[in-house]
Amino acid sequence: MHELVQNVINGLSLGSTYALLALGLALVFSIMGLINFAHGELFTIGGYTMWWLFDRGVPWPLVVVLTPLVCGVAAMLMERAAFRPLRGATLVTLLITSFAVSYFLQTVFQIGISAAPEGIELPGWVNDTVHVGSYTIASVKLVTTAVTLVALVALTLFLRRTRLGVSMRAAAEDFEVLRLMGVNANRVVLFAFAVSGVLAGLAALLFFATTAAVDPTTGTPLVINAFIAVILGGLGSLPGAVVAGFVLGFAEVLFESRLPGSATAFSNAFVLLVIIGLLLVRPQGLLGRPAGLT
Amino acid sequence: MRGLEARYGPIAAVRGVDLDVCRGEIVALLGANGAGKTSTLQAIVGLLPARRGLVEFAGEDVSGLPAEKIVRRGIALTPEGRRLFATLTVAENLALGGGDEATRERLLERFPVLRERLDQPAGSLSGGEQQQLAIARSLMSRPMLLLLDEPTLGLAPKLIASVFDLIARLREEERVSILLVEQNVHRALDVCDRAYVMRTGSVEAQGTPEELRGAGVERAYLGVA
Amino acid sequence: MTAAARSWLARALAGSALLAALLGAVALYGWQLASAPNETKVEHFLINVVFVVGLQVFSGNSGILSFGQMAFAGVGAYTASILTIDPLLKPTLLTGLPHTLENAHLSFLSATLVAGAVAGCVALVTGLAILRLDGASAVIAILSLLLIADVVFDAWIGVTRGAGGLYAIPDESRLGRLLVFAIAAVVAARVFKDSRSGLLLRGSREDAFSAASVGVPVRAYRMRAWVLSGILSGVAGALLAFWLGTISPTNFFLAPTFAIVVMFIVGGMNTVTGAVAGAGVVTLVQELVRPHEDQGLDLGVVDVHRLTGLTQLVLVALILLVMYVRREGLFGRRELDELLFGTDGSPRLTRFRGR
Repeated sequence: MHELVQNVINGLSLGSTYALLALGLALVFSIMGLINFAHGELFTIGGYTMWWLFDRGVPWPLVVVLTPLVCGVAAMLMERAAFRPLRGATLVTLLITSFAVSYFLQTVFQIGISAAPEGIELPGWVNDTVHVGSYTIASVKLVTTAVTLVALVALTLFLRRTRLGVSMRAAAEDFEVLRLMGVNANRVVLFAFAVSGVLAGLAALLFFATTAAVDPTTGTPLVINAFIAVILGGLGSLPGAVVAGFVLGFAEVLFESRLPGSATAFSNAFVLLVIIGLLLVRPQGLLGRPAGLT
Repeated sequence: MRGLEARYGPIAAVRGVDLDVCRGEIVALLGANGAGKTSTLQAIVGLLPARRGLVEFAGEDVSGLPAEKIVRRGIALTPEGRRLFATLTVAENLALGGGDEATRERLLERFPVLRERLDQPAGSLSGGEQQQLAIARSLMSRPMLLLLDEPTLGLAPKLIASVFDLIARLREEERVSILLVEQNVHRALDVCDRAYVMRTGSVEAQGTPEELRGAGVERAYLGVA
Repeated sequence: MTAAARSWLARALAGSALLAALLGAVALYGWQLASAPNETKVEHFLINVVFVVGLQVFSGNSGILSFGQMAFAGVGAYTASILTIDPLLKPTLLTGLPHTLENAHLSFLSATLVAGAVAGCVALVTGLAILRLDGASAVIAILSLLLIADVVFDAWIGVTRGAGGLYAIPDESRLGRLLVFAIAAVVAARVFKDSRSGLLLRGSREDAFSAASVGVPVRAYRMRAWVLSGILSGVAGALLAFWLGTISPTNFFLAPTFAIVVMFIVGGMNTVTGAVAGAGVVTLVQELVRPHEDQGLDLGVVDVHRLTGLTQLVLVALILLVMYVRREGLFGRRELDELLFGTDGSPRLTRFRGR
């Protein structure tokens, strides 16, 4: 029983990272049809930002605010520089370009910082635990889950209640007609990227709070997992991406706890295989394929 | 518009089209499928980049401007097939069209069925209701020129009649000039002041309804010599 | 065989022969120059040819960009290595092998062929799953295949020695042998491309649904391309293993995947000539740039001692150039023989026309 609770907490925590990453990916994909391979690098940028800030003794509340901001700005720069000239290009072209951007950024990190992992000096409270009943839970994991839920609610409200949010949902459905409404489509896309960057930054905060080390390739396996979550959730479905992200997190924790000791290193592989299996049975994903952002 | 030429890649869809719409007019653009009518509208509004030619609106040269800017100068296009945002509600569709509370009220008066369906997703409306929403959405920005691309496409005959009725009334009540693309030749000629007939990208014939009916518009339409 | 059937095959073989001649010429240059570094570069080029052609067979014909071929390459590489490392050394290096594999000691040729076959089987099994997906889903699923392979290569230490690297792989790579395999790959790819399977697959690229509705067994043809691609990639992986002498999981993950994709795109996705040309251009660029990495750069204001990663940046620049300027690559539409002789076989110098 104790182990079950521990697994649930860990699953929620890991699932939150995947959910946030998958959400950012799904957002951009719905609007632009772009599989942004470089999204993992936005996440890594978050990690390096944390490393840099903590290294200089910046207080953690400031780090929490700055990291998503930096990632958001990075995402906007990415859109402006790399993807806008390719607006309307085919899936393959966009994919290759995003792969190139990703590779470029990884190389820049390698040259500019280091190919080796950098340790992040986290604030002390990260190791604190909280006692609930007879259970001891790492407070950071609770915070993770709470922050994710708040972020999701905020995003939902934004998409439903604000003009920009409604424009983004419309853009996901019919980009051309949105332009006919006199809406500045470029701004809508830029903002969608910004949001996806902020989400990646949040994911980075939560992830590196427990991992505390970042290297140029940290983002890659995570973003591939997040991509799978997007498909599992159903391409084009934001809620699907979130649900699938949590499913992925739970599945990974489950495999790690259930597999015999020698096989735990394979847990990521098993999870992916299971998910591909799921996709065979239901290629449109868990929440189907709605026409736009719902 | 003068000497407009627009292409899809190497295929010229619109060749050297000269077209005028004066204030307060209803002008019809006729022609068979593939004649280039929709492309002409798209070129006017900036969705299709024009290779050559001049588009002038209210005394200003708007050729080459992106769609968002042209639309904000007072042209609205109701696209072929309506192209509503199906998963968004009626209210959200209208809101995206722009405009203010007063305009919205006025349009809801004109299209009362929309008021009933304000919170329903646009995709759940019937064909006729969707067409009303599409036109209402275009009118939200209080355009001076309304481009209607085949507004009766796919509608039942009874609804077609009401659409043409609406078009006739719009000119008076909304004070908007209309450029109407239609396949329904005779109905269109009934309601318009002037018309152009296009074939394979160019204007074959033009004139008033009387002139065109006399000269055998069918011939120009079908290209039969 | 009917006349029509004979003619497409003859045409494909003739076209491949042209490319084979070019490869032969390059190999001759590498051999004649006799300086070891140049010969190594040519060997590197020939191995790359097999890699890119392998990718072209699937992605060029099906239109689905695969980032997963390196998974098959890894399978091929580890298979070939296991089968050729001295049985005296094997037990110490790889503790998890079954008895038969521990004692196995095959020749270069057998090992490479077995490697290709094993990779092909993996392709068959994975294809049953992945090829049921389409569009973006297929691309991502294939990408996850790459990650799964990486995890397996890394974690199955008993069989692969994991991140520590598997060494003591005998140096069996010879210029001549690599040339033969490169030519074989080119022939296989070209014959497939011009065959019924290839043609129908390319035809259904734009709209698989419509194609299926008129009876084209799209999935079956895709599977053929996928398996052939897997075999070729597996062979390439084996050749790489023999050439390097040491392999580790990073040889089969993102960096080499990116390099192969750059070659594929720069050369042109749709043709076998493009694959060869892309391999040539990129290998050349890599070899030209690499020496400069050690030289560093002194710009007065900036003094960089080691420009590690310069090669990678150049690759990125290359591929972005293609994306923004000439998306179809060098040989985007027609094979070299088609350019020179026209598509009806009559000799004619046609200027490359169209988009």
